Amino acid sequence: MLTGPACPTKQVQPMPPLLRLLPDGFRSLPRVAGAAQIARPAGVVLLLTALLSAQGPDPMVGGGPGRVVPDEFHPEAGSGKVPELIDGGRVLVHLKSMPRHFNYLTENSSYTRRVSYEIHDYLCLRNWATWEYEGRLASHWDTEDTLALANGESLYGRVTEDGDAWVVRPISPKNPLTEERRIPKKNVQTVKRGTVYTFHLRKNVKWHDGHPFDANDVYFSWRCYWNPTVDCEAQREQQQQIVDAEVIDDHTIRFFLAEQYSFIMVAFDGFQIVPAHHYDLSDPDNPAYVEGIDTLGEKQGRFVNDHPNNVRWLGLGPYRVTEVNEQYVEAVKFDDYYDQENGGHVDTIRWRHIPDDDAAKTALLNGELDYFDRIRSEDYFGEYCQRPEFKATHYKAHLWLPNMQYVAWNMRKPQFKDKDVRWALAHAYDVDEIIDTVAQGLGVRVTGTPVYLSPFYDHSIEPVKFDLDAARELLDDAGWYDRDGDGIRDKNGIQLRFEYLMTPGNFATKIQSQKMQESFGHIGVKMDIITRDWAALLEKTKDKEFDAVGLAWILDPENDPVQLWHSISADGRGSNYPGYVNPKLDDLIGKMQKELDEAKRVKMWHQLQRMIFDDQPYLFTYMVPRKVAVSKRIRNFRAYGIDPGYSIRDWTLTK
Amino acid sequence: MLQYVVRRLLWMIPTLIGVSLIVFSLIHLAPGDPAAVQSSGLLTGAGRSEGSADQATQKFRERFLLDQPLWKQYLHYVGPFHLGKDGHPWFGGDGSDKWNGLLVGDFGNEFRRPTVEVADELVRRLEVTIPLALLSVLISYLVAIPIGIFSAVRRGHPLDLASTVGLFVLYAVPSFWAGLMLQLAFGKSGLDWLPVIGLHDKDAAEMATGAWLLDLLKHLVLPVFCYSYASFAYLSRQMRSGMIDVINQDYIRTARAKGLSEKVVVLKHALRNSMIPILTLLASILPILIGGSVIIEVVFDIPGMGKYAYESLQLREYNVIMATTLIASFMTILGILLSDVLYALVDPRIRYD
Repeated sequence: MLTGPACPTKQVQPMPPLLRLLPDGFRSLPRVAGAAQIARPAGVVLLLTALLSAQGPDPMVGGGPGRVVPDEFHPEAGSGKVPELIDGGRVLVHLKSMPRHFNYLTENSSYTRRVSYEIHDYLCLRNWATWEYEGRLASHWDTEDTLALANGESLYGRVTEDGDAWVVRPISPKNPLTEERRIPKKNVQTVKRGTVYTFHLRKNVKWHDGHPFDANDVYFSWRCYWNPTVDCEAQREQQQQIVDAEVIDDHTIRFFLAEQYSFIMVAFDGFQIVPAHHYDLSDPDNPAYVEGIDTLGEKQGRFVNDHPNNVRWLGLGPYRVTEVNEQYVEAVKFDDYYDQENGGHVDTIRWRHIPDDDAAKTALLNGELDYFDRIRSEDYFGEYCQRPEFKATHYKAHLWLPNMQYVAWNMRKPQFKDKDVRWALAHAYDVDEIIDTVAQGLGVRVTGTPVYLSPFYDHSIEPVKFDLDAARELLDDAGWYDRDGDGIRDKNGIQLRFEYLMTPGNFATKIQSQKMQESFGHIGVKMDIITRDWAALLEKTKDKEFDAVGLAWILDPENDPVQLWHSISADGRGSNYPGYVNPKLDDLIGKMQKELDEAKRVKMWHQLQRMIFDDQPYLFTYMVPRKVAVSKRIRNFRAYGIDPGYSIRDWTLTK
Repeated sequence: MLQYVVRRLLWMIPTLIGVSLIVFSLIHLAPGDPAAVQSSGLLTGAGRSEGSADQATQKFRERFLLDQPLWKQYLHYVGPFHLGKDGHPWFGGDGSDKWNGLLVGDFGNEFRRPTVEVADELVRRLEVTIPLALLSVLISYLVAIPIGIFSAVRRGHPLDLASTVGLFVLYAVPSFWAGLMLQLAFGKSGLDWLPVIGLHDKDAAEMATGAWLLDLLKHLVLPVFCYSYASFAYLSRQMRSGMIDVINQDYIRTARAKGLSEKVVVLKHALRNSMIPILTLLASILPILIGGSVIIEVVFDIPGMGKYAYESLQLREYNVIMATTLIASFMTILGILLSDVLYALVDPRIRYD
């Protein structure tokens, strides 16, 4: 008899298939020589459970941090043929959805981010190859600590402990503290680590109209996050961790945090900088200059929201936008880009907007697309990618983006309040079979939301084994058995029956849900499949009007877990869809937010993963790669493990 | 007659208001929350609580009055008073934007791109869809009339039977499937004769005028065929039955008795009168083609009104859904009126009081 579900772990940790890709330590991963300095704004994106794939290939091929191999999937890779590369040319990249505009300050779509990566730049970004943060518009930055004294004075600098005193040493330029100070501990109220960031901006950076970029642009952009009229709610709370800013000089800006916060780099790498000479009404260089305007006022906010440059973006990236229409966005190489080495090779990028995937597939076969990243599993392993016209011009590849698919149980419902029920259902679903059949081996099982390929994921937690007997036993022990002989277990007058909400999806998702339904039926649990289009599913999920819902997350290498797992996200329309409330977990998340030592945070992540796994608010299923089609003309294609998984800046075209 | 037309035109107003009420109710009763769709991107972003997502959703609802009772939303949509906080002072607004709604010719703005007026975007889309629909109608008539005449004149001939069967088979073929098959057959997957996506080649911007026109024509072939083929059967059967009615008339018998050639009898005496029914159909076919452009425009990726309506449905863009539905309804009502008027014009026996 099972004495209640516990987290099954192994003392000897098997190396998960994808991790075999990696060198011993994640941190020791070598930087890929010549790889573009790729990074992106951070985020978590909710996807449909439609990412399944299938082939019988080696799942270890493709993507992953530190393992970035140019042209890994190209049919001529390793053939010894030397491609004749050209300098310039145009690439046609599919865009499923046309963002309403390209100012990431007020348009938080993943498509804006993708395009922004080429047409704009950021203070610092996570390098896609190494997954480390590095300077972009800022060459580097100084991090200092804040010391709040009992007399109300506040100092900042590098704070070290020395016996019964704190020693504050100024690091950044123009720190009011001109020399090192030793302060007795009794005179100190609090020490907050990593709460002052001084960014040193590069001096040779220009906006696409030739105007020099400086600290005032950054300062004004920071003010935008504090203007209540600016439609930046998606990022406001995150950016408002930065409570103050000061311009030190034209190329130095300092930010102050109110609290010690370990995930602050996510805010900096998503920090959207807008050109003050176009957006700031108090800037005399702005043609719409208004004397004495309040830059936190409504007029300024509306001006930012409705600025025409939001659509025809004027940015700092290696490509400048030349055309935006319903059909495509086109950008050409910006000659004055400050980092020519990473400034791209093709002359023109055209993001072709084709909302319908079937039309996009047709466009691809007819030479209208060079890159398409929505290849369905059935096409990836099926006839579509085998067609001669496909193989003549394109090849297929897959990118191991950090994602995880899951079924969220609504724990507010009586049938899912019981942990044994959730464990029983986990035992009753043969995820391995789905990976082997539907995904044809191209997938790995996951046991939590930390990113599988990151050090934050605990591989010692073994996935739940498929075991119908164990499932039945758990349900019996919990008092769920069929009292009325209708074939469905019940308890206290409640049947163990639920609706599984999903989008109509594709072949793979349909198979999955049917297998789940069949398998649950074997243990006396009735599952009804309900399909809703994306808008309706989203509404029901956000309103928590579901029993169980099939979804997926695309994650950043490290996210603040508050969004998915803190009890505050269980209320209202938050993303803690199961309504999982665990005070111990809340406490842990609070500590993680303060812990600046990554090694310690790694342990905390493992603890978090284990706590959640023990309670099974999700039925954790698997991670599958994104499947893409790439034109054979494109060389130096690299598959990265961070969304969107490719950088157009890398690409070079052949003749 | 004029009085009749004016009366009918006036009747269009309550009819369209009725349509707007029904569509408005339907789209609001249907599942799916535009605020949730618009803010689905707000799931992105770490290091924040969910408060900001709720805040954005609330702001969105307030901006478009989605937080108001349905009756108020509807009255705001119909107009003429703006009922928001910027709206008419009579209704508690600050007076900065007093007028709004259908009654002042305002279809509202898109949710996704609030600076874009639906009416402006619709005009851009109709500039694509209407020429396509007109071209399709023209081709439908050019094909259907000769087939109809032939079938009527050679009733029972094997070719008549074959054309009847063939056209009805065509009529039964769903256009999305036909579109996909045509793409496979004539695109690079098949014969590689024709472009199969969009209205222009990717390099069209660099083409000279002649080449540009040729490119456009090539791109039009498949979508226009898809638009038209279902009408072939319908129109040719109407033509056939019209022609049969006419050639059984006494005056046709008289014409034959005079010794006129069959060609003259059919093309000169019978054709004009037998055209009456299918000419009047013209008015009702056009709105159907415009309304039915959704599938074709999606399959061939044509940026017309149909594709606009399709995308808007997915995003729950209420204002766009309302506008596209109302335009389709308006064109249908107008088409029926035109049919009635055309009947009276071509057949003096018909009188409207």
